[in-house]
Amino acid sequence: MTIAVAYPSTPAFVAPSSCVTGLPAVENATQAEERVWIERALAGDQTAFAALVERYQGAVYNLCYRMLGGAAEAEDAAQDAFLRAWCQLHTFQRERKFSTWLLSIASHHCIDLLRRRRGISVPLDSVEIWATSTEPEPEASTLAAEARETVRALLDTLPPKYRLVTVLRYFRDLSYLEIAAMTGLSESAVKTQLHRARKMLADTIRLKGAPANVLPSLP
Amino acid sequence: MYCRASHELMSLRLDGRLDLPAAARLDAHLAGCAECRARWTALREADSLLRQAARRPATPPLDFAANVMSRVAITPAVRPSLWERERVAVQGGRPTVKLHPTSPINGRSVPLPGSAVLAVPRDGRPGLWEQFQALYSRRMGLYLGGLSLAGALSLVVLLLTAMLWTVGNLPVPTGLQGALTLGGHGESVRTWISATWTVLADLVTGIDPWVAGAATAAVSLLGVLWWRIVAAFVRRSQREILA
Repeated sequence: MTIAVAYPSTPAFVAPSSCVTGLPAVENATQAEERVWIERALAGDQTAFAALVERYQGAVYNLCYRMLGGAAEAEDAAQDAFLRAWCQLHTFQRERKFSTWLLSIASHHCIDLLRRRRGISVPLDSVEIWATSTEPEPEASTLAAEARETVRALLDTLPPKYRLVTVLRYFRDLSYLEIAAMTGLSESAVKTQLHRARKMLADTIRLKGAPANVLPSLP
Repeated sequence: MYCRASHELMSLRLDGRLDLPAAARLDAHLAGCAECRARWTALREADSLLRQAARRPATPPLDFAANVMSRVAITPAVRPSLWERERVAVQGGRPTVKLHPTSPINGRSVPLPGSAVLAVPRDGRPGLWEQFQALYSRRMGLYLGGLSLAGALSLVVLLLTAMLWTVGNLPVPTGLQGALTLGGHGESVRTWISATWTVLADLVTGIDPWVAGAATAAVSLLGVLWWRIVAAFVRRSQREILA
């Protein structure tokens, strides 16, 4: 049996308002614009910081949402991350990418929150992994809601640091090197952590059985 | 190939980072190992689940940016302290900022990340103490500290000069001779100062070299201890650095 599936790099979520594109020239222009905003924000200009918030709110919120699993928690954490960035903007090193810096603040904050929450977490065996949401959903989005709940429950089984690399890899579509820059790990550590995280996810799936609607595209 | 080695290859393949020979080796192993095949299937299930989820990004609430900015408006950007700037200049690295506990605003608690200094808007005029607090800054503290230090130093110099005058090593200016009699009590004051001076001089000249050595060692030890404390502080602040 030969399994050769090509996995195209899925276009994961990018920040709204069409600010981040893959073109280097545009990226440079974007970064130059950002640098101006940062300088103005450092001088106390709040509207410049508001522009940065506007640009990165989607990215930060998404990261927090995937890390924490709940919309309300994600909103609080994302706000905290921006406020932290505002307070500590002077520690930002100009040669780094602002998005990397900002998202690393958000990820550290989420990990802190998850660690604090760990005391009240429930053991894996008692979690109904494929439970559907109890809230009433319109018929059309029920499947999507189920899948979302599934992913949330699946990510919930991972310890914070494994969860972070998984979220960065899948939901930010970052390379090993970018994840390493963000988390402060080495590239090989990222590789190992991602491998272990996937192993845990696979073990959970094998233990609980996958829901039927999850794998429409598998041969 | 061992199963363990194949597991790492599987993760790499999911990221499209496996070259052809390695992929061929993995396929060969999968063909012969049912356990790894089951694992590979589960891995791909997890992978496709996550990829599908990533295509449906969660959108922040519409008022998200406004909420952030309303919190930013009451949170002044914190500048690194003088100590931090000095530390960075000497040791390199980045400055850190201590964030203070949450402050209540008009009776409402404002949750902050770890927290930050809050400018608390108040009804009514600020009191004298609050005005002073608003005025107070690190620079002003330095200024006031320097001023009092200079004052203390000049006092010491004055005292020493007075001592020298009283024990007679230095000619007392004629204009000051009346003042030094201190309204009739001059003699007793002069005797007291003279006695103190003698005791101090004896102390300095009569110090045992062994005692001096021990004192030096003790001071060096204290210095080492101090540096350990500084190092611990630096390590702690480095842990606090977020990025």
